[in-house]
Formats: sequence, C-alpha cells, structure tokens
Amino acid sequence: MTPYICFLAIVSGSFAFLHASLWNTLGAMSLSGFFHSYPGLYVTQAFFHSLVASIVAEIAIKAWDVRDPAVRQRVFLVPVVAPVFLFPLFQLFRPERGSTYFRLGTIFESRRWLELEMLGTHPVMGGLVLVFAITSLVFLFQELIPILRHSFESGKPEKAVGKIDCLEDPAIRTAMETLPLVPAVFVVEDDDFLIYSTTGKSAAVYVSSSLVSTLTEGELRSAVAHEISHVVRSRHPMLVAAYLLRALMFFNPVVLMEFRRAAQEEEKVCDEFAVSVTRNRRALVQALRKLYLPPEEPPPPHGRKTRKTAKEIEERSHRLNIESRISRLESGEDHDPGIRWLVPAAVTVAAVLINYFIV
Amino acid sequence: MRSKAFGSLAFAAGLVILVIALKALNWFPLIAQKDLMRRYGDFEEMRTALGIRQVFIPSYFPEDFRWPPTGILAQGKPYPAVIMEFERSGEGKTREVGMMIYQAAEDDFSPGGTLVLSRIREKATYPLKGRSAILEVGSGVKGEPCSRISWREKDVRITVLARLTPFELMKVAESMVR
Repeated sequence: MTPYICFLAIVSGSFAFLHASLWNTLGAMSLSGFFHSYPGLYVTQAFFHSLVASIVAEIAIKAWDVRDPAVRQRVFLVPVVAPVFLFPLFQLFRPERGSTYFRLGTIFESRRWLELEMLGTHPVMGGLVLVFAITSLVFLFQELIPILRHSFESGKPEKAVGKIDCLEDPAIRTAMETLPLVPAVFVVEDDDFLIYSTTGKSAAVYVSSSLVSTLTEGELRSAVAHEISHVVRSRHPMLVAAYLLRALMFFNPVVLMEFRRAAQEEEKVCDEFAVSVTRNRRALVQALRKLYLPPEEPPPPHGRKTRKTAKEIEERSHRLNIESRISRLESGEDHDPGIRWLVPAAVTVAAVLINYFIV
Repeated sequence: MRSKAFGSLAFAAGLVILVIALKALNWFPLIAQKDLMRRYGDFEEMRTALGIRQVFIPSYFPEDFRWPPTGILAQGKPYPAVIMEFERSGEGKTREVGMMIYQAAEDDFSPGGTLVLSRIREKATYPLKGRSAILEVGSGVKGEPCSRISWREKDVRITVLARLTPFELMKVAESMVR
C-alpha cells in the first residue's frame, strides 16, 4: 500500500471514527460530562498542547532568527505532531496528572476556563466546541475532499501531448543520479501557465504548452526541478508521517494553521532544491515571476470597494507568498547547519516540558 | 542568523515570559468565578464562599492528628467537593499529610496528592453504623501502612485515607457517622 493510500485510509477512518464516537459520547452525556471524559480530555489537551507548542515554535523562530525553510518546516511540524502523543504519554507515565492536587500546581488548567459560567452557560466550553466543529468542516471541505478528488483524477494525463527530456543538461543529470526517482515530464496542451506534479507510483511532472513556449530553457529547467523536488519529498518518511498525524488532529485549529505554514515552507524547501540542482537562482526567480505574478490590474477608477471577496483575499495571500519566495531567492541567504536540528530539538523539549504542566 | 548563544538566551527568556503569561491566564478564572477548586484558610471562609453547609468531620482523632485540618480545599462546581488535610503534629514528626478526609457529590472523585494508597493488600465491605463501607488496606509509596475507607452518606461519598492501621481508621470513620 502506498503512503498516499495509507494517508487516505487513516484520514477517512479516523475522521469517521472520531466523529461517530464524539457524537455518541455527546449524545450520552452533557457537554461538561464530555469534557471530563477521556476523549474530551484528549481533545481539549491536544488543542492547548498544540497552542503552547505553536507559541514555543514562534519564540524559537524569532529568537534564533530562523530563515532556513527546512528548519522552519521542522519547527512548524512540532505543534502538529506533539499533541497527538503528549496526552496519552503523560497519562501513561503519570496517571495522577488529572488529580486535583496536580491540577492545582500546574501552569495552566484548561478546566478552569471551560467551567467558567456566564448567564447559566459555559461560553468557553461552547466556543471551543464551535471552533472544533468549524475546523473539522474546514478540514473536510478544504483538505479531505480535494485530496480524495485529486486521488481519483490524478494519473490520467488525457491531454498530455508530448514528453520532454530535462535530463540532457549534464548538471541536472548528475544531480538526478543521487535521487531515488526521476519522474517523467509531460507537456499538456493548455493556454494557461501551469506546472504541477503527481506523486505515487506514476509520479510525473506536467507542464502546459503555453508555459513551455514562454519560459526560457533555464527557467523551465528550474521550474521542473522544483516540481521534481515535490515528487522526491512526497516519499520522505518524516513528511508522510506528518501528513498522517495531521489527519488525526482534524478538529484542531492550531494544527490546521501550523500544517499550512509547514506546507508553505515546503515550497521554499523545493526552491532551495531546484537552485542546488540547476545552480541558477535567477532562472527560478524569473520562472516564478512569469508563472505567478502577472501585472496587477489597476482598481476601477470610480467604484470604491469596501469589501474584498474571498477570491481576492486568497489571490492576494498567494501573491504575498510568491513574493516572499522570490525575495528569499534573491537574497541568497546562507544557512547555519549548526541549528538544523538544534532549533527543532529545543522546541520539542520545551513544548514537552511546558505541556506536561498544561492540563 | 543570530549567534547561537544570543538565540538560546532569547529563547529561554521567551519561554519564561510564556510561562508567566500562562500562570496569569490560569489565575484569571479564580477571580471571575468563586466556586472553582481552591485552598481556604478555614471552614467559615469556605462555607461563606461556596455555601456548602454539611461537612462531615470526625469527633475522634488518633494520636498525632488534631482538629482543625492543616489544609482545606473545596469547590462548588461542577459538583461540590471538600478535601481536608491533616498533618502529623508533635515533636520529631515530619510535617507531611498523614490523613485526608474528602467528600464529593461524584463517586469517582479522587484528589491524588502525596498521600496515596499505592498497594492494596485487602479490600472488604465493612458495615459502618448501618452503611456499607469499602475498606482497603495496603501500603503507601514508601511501604508504610496505609488504609482507606469510603462510604455513601446522603448525597455525597466520604473517603478517609490515612497512614494508620485499619483499626484506627475505622474509629475515625465511625466518629463521623451519627
């Protein structure tokens, strides 16, 4: 079974199981009762543990001024992975962690906030349930369904019209020799600027014909190298594990946010890979500009917009992300290998130690 | 990239600020809501704050223990619960909690703490002035003799846990029931 299918199976299974068990538990007891039960404690503490780990990660990024995308990605994955294990591990090694005396001596006791009463209601408890429900829906519609749809649609390059060989370049060929796989590169007949890759057994890179005719040879090589990096890294065990664990935390808004930040860093890691293979930073910058940064249209002269549409916000956000990638590539920063594991390790240790006292 | 030493210092400082902020956040609900679990100086203070009228207290105390309790913890919500701690008194005695009496509306209320019945040797049902009590005899963390007796009284469950022989413990429990 490929890791990808495994991911889908775990996501669907865990989502269905947790959804069913949560509703069964909620149906059988009050909201307060649920938050005192083991699933309720797990869900609540996972949320607070990821929140604290996320703050610790942010402190580390600022303190060490971390700019290396690979290190940043590892740091962002700590709040994604840690909450899956922390509560069960803490309970295993210290079962009395939930006792009154332990809770009184902790740094933060979530139950105090959950039990807060206003006008006969528990606003924090209700708010948390609402946040978990919204996050679950976001996960379902923005991640799970698109992934499922993509898994059924990918691997069918109906419009692929030709195959180009990017391995003619000796530098790329030498670099590719060290890689576990070299995917095929296909040209797809399309007027839009498109380049994407599929993973799995039939891993391939697809480039639209209009992009091939627009980019220079060097730019195309850089863009393809970037996509090849996605294919190679999709088989990285750490990333595969992170995807699987992230799915278990489908209700957790902090995990949702941190995972997306880690995914953004993935693009920068692949940029680094492309530059290391092609040794042409400028070409990748130009390719990114041509691909994603068409000149912005001027605003209408008289129509004063007061509300931005969701699409506009998304486009703006995407543009900012591309600009940040370009400015990183242009600055050509050198990374300190000494902190490659130091920062993620420090974040993990600090997150575990502090979260032990978050109940 | 900042130097590793400066980064480590800044990271440590950031963590200290985070812990202080979390502690402050933890303290806020105690101000906003009076009936959360907290320590009280005496019974009157606890009764005034929580309105818990009936607290079951023993009239018999073994040697080394005496009234009033050295610590009182109580909560009004999600259910009323009161914990009384008794430290051993007298010369040459270490000031550690040797007896705990707690009552709570929930049967599975377990406060934890330093006084733990870590190994149960014997468990039996014991008739306590018409009530059915569960008596557990065993040892504490350091292997010292430790016993626990628990029974239901009206709408609360009362538990007495002490580093005492079962005989002494039962005398304490019997003195609580009228």
